[in-house]
Amino acid sequence: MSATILACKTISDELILALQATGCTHPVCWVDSNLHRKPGKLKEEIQSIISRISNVETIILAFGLCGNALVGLRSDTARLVAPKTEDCISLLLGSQKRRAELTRESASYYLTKGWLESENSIADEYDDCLKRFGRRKGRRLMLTIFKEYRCLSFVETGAGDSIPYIAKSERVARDLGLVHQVIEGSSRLLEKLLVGPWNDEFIVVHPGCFIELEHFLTAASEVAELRQ
Amino acid sequence: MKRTQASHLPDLVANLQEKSVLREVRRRLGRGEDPLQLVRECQEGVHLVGERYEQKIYYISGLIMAGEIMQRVGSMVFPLLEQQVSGNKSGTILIGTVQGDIHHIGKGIVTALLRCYGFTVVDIGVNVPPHQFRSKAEEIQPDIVGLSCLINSSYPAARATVELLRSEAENIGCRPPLIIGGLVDQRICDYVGADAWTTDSITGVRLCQKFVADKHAGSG
Repeated sequence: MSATILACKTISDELILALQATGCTHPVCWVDSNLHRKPGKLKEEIQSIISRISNVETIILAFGLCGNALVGLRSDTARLVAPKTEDCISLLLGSQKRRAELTRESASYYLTKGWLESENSIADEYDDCLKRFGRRKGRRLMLTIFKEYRCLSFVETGAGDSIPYIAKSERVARDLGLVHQVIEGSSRLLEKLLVGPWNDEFIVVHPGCFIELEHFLTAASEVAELRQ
Repeated sequence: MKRTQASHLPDLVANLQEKSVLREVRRRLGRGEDPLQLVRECQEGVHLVGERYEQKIYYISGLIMAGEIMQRVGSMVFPLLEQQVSGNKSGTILIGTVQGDIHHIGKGIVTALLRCYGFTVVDIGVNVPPHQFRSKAEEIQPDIVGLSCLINSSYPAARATVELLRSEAENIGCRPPLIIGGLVDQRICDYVGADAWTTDSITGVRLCQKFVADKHAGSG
């Protein structure tokens, strides 16, 4: 099978580790993680890259749904494969199901090494906020952001040296009065994305077909349960 | 006094200069200027803050600060608006973030703006299950219900809420228009079954004004 991987730069360490673990040799095209601020732009960028690829059977999208950036994507020549996850955190936790279970336990804001390295990092936001508004107002604004969260959880994926990043997230948690925890990540779903089998944890669309919102959403019966 | 660019109200809001904004609003209200015009200018500033967030000049804290500035402007302006606008012309809006979602910042910004325009906003918080929307709607008989849903895993809950409010309309005693806000578009609006959608607070205010105006036109 000929394939190319399109991946978010935020998960570069984890993806490289998964490529090594699986022996997968598909080439990787990295997409700037800063496009997350404007999901429409992220979708445009991914589609632009997809449209330029014509010589593979499969394009593997190493992204979560990420602000619906995957909805509406299409390749004329290749099938598209994507994990059925809300975002990359669910991907790095090993499954959307595990994410849902952890969320039910407590409302947590998740961080990874990749996120803390990006320009969108909450640690950078925290420092900017204190600098821009002063300590008292800055802290109050940050507490507003985290009003509904109880925990700040660092997802330890084993990719790269995470110690300085755990220290950074501990600092933010301590300053904001949040419980800090380190949660073990899992490469299970990421490795499965690379080499299959692509079961119901994945979306697979044929050449010429679009990735649809409904591919990610709950079946009608589960909707009815929510109404009870 | 020669007006410099720095005293231009939208720019003051866009620069998140809270004290200067309030001083300028106070000054112009004192001169008898139209409070709604001041709100519109501040809205323009909030829009600029949104642009600067997308340009990575501001972080999320900038958006929150803009919302807080609007809240404070609203507190100054609303008593004057009450004299201009009678309660039933603005309307009551029930708003909440749907079950499974705890985001609240956008909801807070649109709530602040709606109150500036004289709406009564009842905010029932985050992670709100469908039955709580239903029981609150029955209690307060809102003119509009706003559902905030920022994450895609919350769309089924938004749909369940819409279905419950529709199917129970007779028992609730009202069938208000339902607006979804957040990371949404027409496709998601169709899935959820809402009447309208918005991704920004200013459009949200205009939608609410239109729905209330339509309601009064229909009953007039």
